[in-house]
Amino acid sequence: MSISFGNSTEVFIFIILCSVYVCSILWIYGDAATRDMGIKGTILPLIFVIAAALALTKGMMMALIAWPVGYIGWFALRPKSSHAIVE
Amino acid sequence: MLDILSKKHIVAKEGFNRWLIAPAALGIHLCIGSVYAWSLFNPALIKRLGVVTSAADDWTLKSVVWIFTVAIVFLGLAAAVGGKWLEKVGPRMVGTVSAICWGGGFMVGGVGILTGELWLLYLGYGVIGGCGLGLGYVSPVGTLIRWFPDRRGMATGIAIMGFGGGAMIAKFMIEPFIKIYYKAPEYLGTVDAVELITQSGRRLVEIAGELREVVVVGANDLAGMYAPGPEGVYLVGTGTVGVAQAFFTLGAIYFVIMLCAAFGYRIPREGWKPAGWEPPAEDKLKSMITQHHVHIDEALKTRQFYQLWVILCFNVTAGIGVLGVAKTMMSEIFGSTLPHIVDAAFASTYVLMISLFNMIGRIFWASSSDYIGRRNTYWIFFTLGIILYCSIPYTAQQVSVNPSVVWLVYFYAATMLIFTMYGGGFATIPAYLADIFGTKYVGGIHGRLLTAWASAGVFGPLAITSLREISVKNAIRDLIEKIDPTTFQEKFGAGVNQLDQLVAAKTVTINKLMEIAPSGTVDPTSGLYNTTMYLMAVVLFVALIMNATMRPVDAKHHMKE
Repeated sequence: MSISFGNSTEVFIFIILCSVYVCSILWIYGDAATRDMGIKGTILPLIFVIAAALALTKGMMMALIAWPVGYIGWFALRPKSSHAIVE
Repeated sequence: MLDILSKKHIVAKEGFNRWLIAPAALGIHLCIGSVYAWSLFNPALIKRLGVVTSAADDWTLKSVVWIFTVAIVFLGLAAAVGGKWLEKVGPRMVGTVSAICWGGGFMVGGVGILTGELWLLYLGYGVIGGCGLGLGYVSPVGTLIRWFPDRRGMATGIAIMGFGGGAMIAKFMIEPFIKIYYKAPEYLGTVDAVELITQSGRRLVEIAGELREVVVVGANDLAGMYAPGPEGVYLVGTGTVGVAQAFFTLGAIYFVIMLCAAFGYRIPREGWKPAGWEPPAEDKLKSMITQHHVHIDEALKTRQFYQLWVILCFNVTAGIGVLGVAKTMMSEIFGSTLPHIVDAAFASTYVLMISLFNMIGRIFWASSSDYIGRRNTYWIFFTLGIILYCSIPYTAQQVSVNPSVVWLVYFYAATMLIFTMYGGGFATIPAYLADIFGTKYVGGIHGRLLTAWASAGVFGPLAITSLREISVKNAIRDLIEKIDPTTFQEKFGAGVNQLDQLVAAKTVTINKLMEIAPSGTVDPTSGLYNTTMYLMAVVLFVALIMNATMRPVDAKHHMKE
């Protein structure tokens, strides 16, 4: 992966963008766990991870587009009901 | 057989001394903390075949330096996955697997070095070893917090201090082991006495009718040799640099220590609390310490988890931002302005002090947080951090204008304080998590939070290298504007229109341009790190906002009985 930056603002945006990506993936894992998705709950976020990585190799703009697409995709594909975790 | 590793088997008996957990946790963290000493292997790895200096087929520094990053990324991933497993099987099982992975990773890596298979070294040390790091890192955290609910910060600070100190101890093991196993290659004689043949860039010598590769050691290479030897020609493939054998030995030592430490783990029985201690009353308005518990998966759905993720990630990014350049800054800025004080020995001591203050910061800040509160501790980190980061460019500028020792003292003190807060950020976060999410699943939640560290392991170096590159380009462009094009042509044998190629080939550098710059031109070297420092201050400001807006977790996320 080769990303070149023109100035410090781009580096800052990159750091924020990557942080948002990692946090989104973690949130999806947590969401999947409360919806009993089984193996699908592991695979779908993984697709998100791969898509994010691929998008980043094409530049930050692609990554900016891929993130909302991935998120909307998740909300469309996840089971509608969730449950509370009990002790 | 595996039963002795299980959670139910390690419930402590009545009267168990909780302080016995601390050395076990410290033992594991001291072993895995040696990952910070990875750079000590680099000089030997790039001389695997040549031994005294790099041979044509030896690995390059660029190819081995990323192994450390791979290990840190796998640390984060293993901690994230292993955290939940830890809550299920208990710390002894996780500690044992960690010992197998960390010790085994060294063994696999050692085989990779022996056979010359770089991918095996990446797999062994980076992937398998990295998983051992992640599992080892999280294994004692939840247990310590349950044993020390009254001193959470101090307890986790002790363990995580070990991680900071591991590199210091490893330094005294890695180099001696390499020297023990080192075997000098066959010496053929001085350059004048040997008939050298050059083919495809390789230096060869004809021995018994066969062309054999050799390396030529010059005066500049002598300092990098593990055992003193004469200048001249050495036969490739006849000696050993000793790094593979050092890997095997270290792997065995770490495995034994970590296994013993894992067997020292005990967990308190359900409902146990220290004698005479009562949990503080929960007051939502004043206290950030909850008496409820949040499940690992549910924690991922709270905003507090992501606030803490940003706090850890950005604190580490900022720390790496200065860690990665501190020694270079010291040498480049102060080495040229105060050469009678800042020499090679001074720089080496400075590096040792970085490790020491990083370690001290872990126990000091984590213990202090038990008294001043977790949020206040991070308030100090971020406000003080922003001030210190913003002041470093001013210090660098002042010392280039007025080379006074006062600026050196300030720079030294400021960076050391930053390193204590870097370590303190790591050590205080488990206690912060326990305050916010309760103690029941803190080990698992901490494991997932360590993805922040793995991310910072990528952001920090990326920010440093990118920003320095941008600053160097800008500085060269500014200098070019002040230099007469004819003088430039005479000096470099090419015109300014070929600047990009000249910079890429390192023919044109700031130092070389300063030689032909008009008198009175200010050397821009001291300003090369300004952007990095300012960016790190901005990053810390984002973390400060996250810390300032931290509130207790909403009751809907608490586990129901």
